[in-house]
Amino acid sequence: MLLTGNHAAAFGARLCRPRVIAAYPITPQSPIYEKLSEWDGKGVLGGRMMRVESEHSAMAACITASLTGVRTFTATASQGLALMHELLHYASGMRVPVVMVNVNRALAAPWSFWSDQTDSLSQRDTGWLQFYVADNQEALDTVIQAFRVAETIFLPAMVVLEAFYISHFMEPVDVPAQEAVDGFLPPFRPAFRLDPSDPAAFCQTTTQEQYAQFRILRHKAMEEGLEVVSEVDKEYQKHFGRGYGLVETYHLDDADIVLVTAGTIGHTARITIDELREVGWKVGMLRIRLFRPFPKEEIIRRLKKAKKIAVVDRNISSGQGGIFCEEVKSALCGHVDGAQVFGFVLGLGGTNVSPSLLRKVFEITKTMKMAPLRPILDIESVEIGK
Amino acid sequence: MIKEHKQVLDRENPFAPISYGNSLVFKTGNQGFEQPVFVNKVAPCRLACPIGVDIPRAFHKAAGGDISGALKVYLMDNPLPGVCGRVCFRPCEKMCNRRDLDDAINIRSFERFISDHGRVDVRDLYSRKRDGRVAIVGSGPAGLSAGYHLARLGYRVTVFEKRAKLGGMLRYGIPSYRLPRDILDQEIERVCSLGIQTEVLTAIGKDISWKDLDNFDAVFISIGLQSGKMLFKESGVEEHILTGLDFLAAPHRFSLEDAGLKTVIIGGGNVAMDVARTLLRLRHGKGDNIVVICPESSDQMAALEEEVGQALEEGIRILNGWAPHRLRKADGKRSSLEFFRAEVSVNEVSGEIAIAPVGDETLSLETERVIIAIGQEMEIDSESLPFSTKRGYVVADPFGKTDHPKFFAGGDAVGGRPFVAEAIASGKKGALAIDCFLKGKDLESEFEANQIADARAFCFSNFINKADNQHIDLKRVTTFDRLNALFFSEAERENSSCLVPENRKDSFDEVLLGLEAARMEREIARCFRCGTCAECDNCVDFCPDVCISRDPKLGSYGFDPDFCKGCGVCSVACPRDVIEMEGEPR
Repeated sequence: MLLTGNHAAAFGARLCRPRVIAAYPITPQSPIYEKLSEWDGKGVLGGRMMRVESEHSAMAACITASLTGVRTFTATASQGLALMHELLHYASGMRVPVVMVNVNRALAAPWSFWSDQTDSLSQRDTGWLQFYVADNQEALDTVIQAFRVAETIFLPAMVVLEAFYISHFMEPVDVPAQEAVDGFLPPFRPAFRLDPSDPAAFCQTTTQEQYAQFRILRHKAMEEGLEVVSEVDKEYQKHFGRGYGLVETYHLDDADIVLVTAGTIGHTARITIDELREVGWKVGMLRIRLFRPFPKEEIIRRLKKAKKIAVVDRNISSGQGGIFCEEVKSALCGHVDGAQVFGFVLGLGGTNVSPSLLRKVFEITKTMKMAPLRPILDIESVEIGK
Repeated sequence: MIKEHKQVLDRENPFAPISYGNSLVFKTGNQGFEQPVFVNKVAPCRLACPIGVDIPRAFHKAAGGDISGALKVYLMDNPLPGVCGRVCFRPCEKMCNRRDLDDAINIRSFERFISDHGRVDVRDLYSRKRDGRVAIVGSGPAGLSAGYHLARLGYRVTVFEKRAKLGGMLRYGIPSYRLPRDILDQEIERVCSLGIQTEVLTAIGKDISWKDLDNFDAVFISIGLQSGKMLFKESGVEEHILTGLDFLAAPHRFSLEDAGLKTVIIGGGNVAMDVARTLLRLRHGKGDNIVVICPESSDQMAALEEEVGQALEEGIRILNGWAPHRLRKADGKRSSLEFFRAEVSVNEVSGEIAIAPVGDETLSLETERVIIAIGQEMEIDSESLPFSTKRGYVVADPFGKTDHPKFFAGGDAVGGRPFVAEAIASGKKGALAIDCFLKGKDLESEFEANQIADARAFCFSNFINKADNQHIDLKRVTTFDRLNALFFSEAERENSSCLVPENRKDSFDEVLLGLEAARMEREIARCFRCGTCAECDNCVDFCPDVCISRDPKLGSYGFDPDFCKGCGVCSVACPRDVIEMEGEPR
C-alpha cells in the first residue's frame, strides 16, 4: 500500500489490537488520530477511541486503562509531548507498557511545525524506550515491535518519526495480515492490574529506600530491554522478513570516516556515501535506531575501527550540542582510545539536510585534524582545509 | 525465540509501586481536632407553620415513596391535614428557602396530596391510657385539635357541640367549594377514632350548665366567635339585613327566597368573599345583582389574595374605598344604602382597621338585601361564665390558660389571627397546657424544652418521646445560606390549577384541584429538605478518609474517629446543613 508515515503508524497500531486509544490531535500527528477515529467510526478499530481534553489527560487515560489490563496506544507531537511530561514519568514509574508514536516537531518558541528531534530527546530521562525510525515501513514495523518489547519488560515505549519527512510523505508500505501480527504479538498479559476483587493501592508514598529500589528496578528493566529489543527484532524478521537491529549500518566495515545519525538523515547519507565511494573515499554510516536504552556495547563495537566519526544531529541541547553526539562520545569514552568525534548540528526546525550538505560534513571531517570541542553549527561558513 | 522474561509480580517485592496491604495502620484521626456532628435542624417552613409540622421530614418520606409515612409526620402535630391542605393561608411557603433559588415549594398541595393518598390509623401513632377527663366545648378546628392531642396523651375526652355536626366554622363557615364535606367528615372521623366521646346539639349554658362540667378534670373552651357583627340595627329595614355568618351556616335555606335580589355584601374579609361566591353559585353563576363593597383598598383587604382573585375571576364586583353610612327604606321592597369615600389604616399588630372619610363624595346603592360580613363576636350566654372575658374575647395567656385553673381556651374565642392553622395550633398548645396542669408539670419549661427555635409552636413528637427525637436539634434553623446550593438546580414550581370560572361558578364542586401524582413527584423532588438528612451519601462519597458510613439501624451516619482527621469536607459536601464540625483538640 502507498501510505504516509502517519498512516503506516496507524496501521501498525490497529494491527496490535489496542483496546483503548486516548489521544488528542496536534499537527503533524493529527492524521494518525484521524485515521484511527475513522476506523472507530466505521466500527473496525476493535478498541475504543477516548476523547480527552489534552495530551496530559490522554496519557493519564492510557496509564489507567493500561492498569486495568488492556493494551493502550496514543500518539502526539511536540507541544503535546511537552504537556504530557509529568505523566510520562508516571507511566514508566508505574511500569505500564503504553506505546506512543511521537512525530518530531520543533518546540516553541518561536512557533514552528517542522521536523526537529528536540521534543522527544527532551524526554530522555522519563524512563521510556525511544525508537527513531527512518522510513514509513519501519514506522509500521516498529510500532508492532514496540508493543512486544514494552509488554515484556513493563516499560512504556515511544516510536519517533520526523514531521513531514516521514509523517506526510507517501511510500510503498507492506501492511502485514492481521493473523500474521496476531501470531507475533500475543494478547496482553499483565503481571498486575487494577482488580476490585483483589484490592491494591497504586503509586503510594514510599520511603527513601523503597523509592531508590523502584528506580533501580526501572533502570535494570531498561538495560534488559537492550537484549529484548534485539530478540524481538530477530523474531520479527523471522515472521515478516524485515529486521532493523539496534543500529543500521552502511559500508561500515572498512570505513575510515563514519557518519553517525538517527532518523531520515540516515537515508540521505546513503546517497552521499555512494557518491564518495565512487571516488574512492572509505566512508560509512551508522544510524542509531534505539536511543533508550542506549546501545552502548553495539556502538562501541561498530565504531572501534573508525578513524573519524561525524555525528549529525537534527536537535540541539543548548549549551552542550547535538544530543546523539554527546551520547556517542560518552559511550566511547574509556573504550575507544582517542576517538575523533565531530559534532554537526544540522536540519533544525526542519531545514533540509541534502546529500551535498552531508558531502561537506565528510569533507570537513576528513580535512580537520582535531575534532572541535563544540558542535559545528554553520557548515556553509567552514572553509575546507583550515 | 525470545527468552523467558519474568512476567509475574512478587507481591512482597513488587517491581512496580503497588501495595496489596492497606493503610489502616495510619490512624489519620490523630491529626484532627474537630469532628463531624450529624444532626438535623429546623427548616424555615416548619418555623413558619403555626402548628410546627416537620414539613421537610414529610417530604423526605414522600421522596422515598412513603406517602403514608409522610402523612404520619403531619398527623404527629396536625389532626386536620386534609383541611389545611385546602384552606391554609400557607405561611410555610412564604418562608420556603427555595424562594432564594427559584420559587417556593407548593407545600399546601403536598399536604393535600398525602392526606388524599396516604393511609394512617392514628391509633397506631401514639396513644396511652391515663387517668383524667377533659371536656372540649366547641368542635371547630381548635377543639378538634385539643381533643385529638389530649386523646393521644391518654385522656378521656368529651366534645360538646351546640350544632348537629362537628366542625364549627370548617362546616358552617367555609363553603364546600373550598372544603368538600366528605373530606371534612373523614378528617373528623379520624380524630374521633381515638375514642373521643361527642355530645352534639348540646350548648353549654343552655342545654347543660357550666356547673355540669365540674365532673371533668379540665375544660378546653373553643367556642369561637359565633355571631356576625351587625350594622343598621335601627334602620327600619331589618328584614333586608342578615349577617354573612348566618348566611354561610345554611346558604341553601336562602336560595328559595333569594330569587336574584339586588344584594350588597359589606366587608373585605374572607367571609365577604365566601358569601359572594356562595350566592353566585346559588344563582347558577349569575352575578349581576351581587356587589361586594368595603372601605379597604384592594391591597388592604383582609381576605386572602387567592380568594379575592378567584372571586374576581368569577365576575364578582368589588368596590373598594367606600364606608357604609346609612340604610334607608326606599320604594317598595327596596332600600337605599349610602356610602362615603373612606380611607383605611390597618393596625399592623391587631389587624384592626380605622376608617376616616375622604372628601365629600358619596355613593348610593339601591338594594333588596344587605349581607354584613365585617367581623364576628362571641355569643355571650346569660349565665355567668366561670372565666373572664374582655372586649368579647376569653382572657387567656399564650398557652390558653384562663383565670380559672381548670379552664383553658383557644381558637377564635381568644382572639388572634382568624386562620384555621392558628386555631389548630392553639388547640395543640391547649393540650400541652392541660397535660401539664393535670400532671403538675411546669408548663413554661416544658414548652421551652420542646419549642421549635423561637417559634410559637412546639414539637409534639419531642414532647412525647425525647429519646426518639434525638436526631434533630430544635433550636437550630437552616437558612438558605447554610445549604450547599451547588447541589440544587432550578426547576419550575408545579402550581395547583383551578376549575375554570365558567365551570365552577354555578356549582359547589371544589375549585382548587390537587396536583396529579406525576406533577406532585416533581414538586417533591424540588424540596431541598432543609436541615433534614436525605441520605444522599454525599458525606460518604466525599470523605477523603473513607471513614463515614451509614448506620442502617439508626438510618443515620457515623464516622470512625480513628481515621476522621476533621477536614470538614463532609460538612461542606452536605447539601442540607446536617453536618457541622465541632470539637476540641484530642
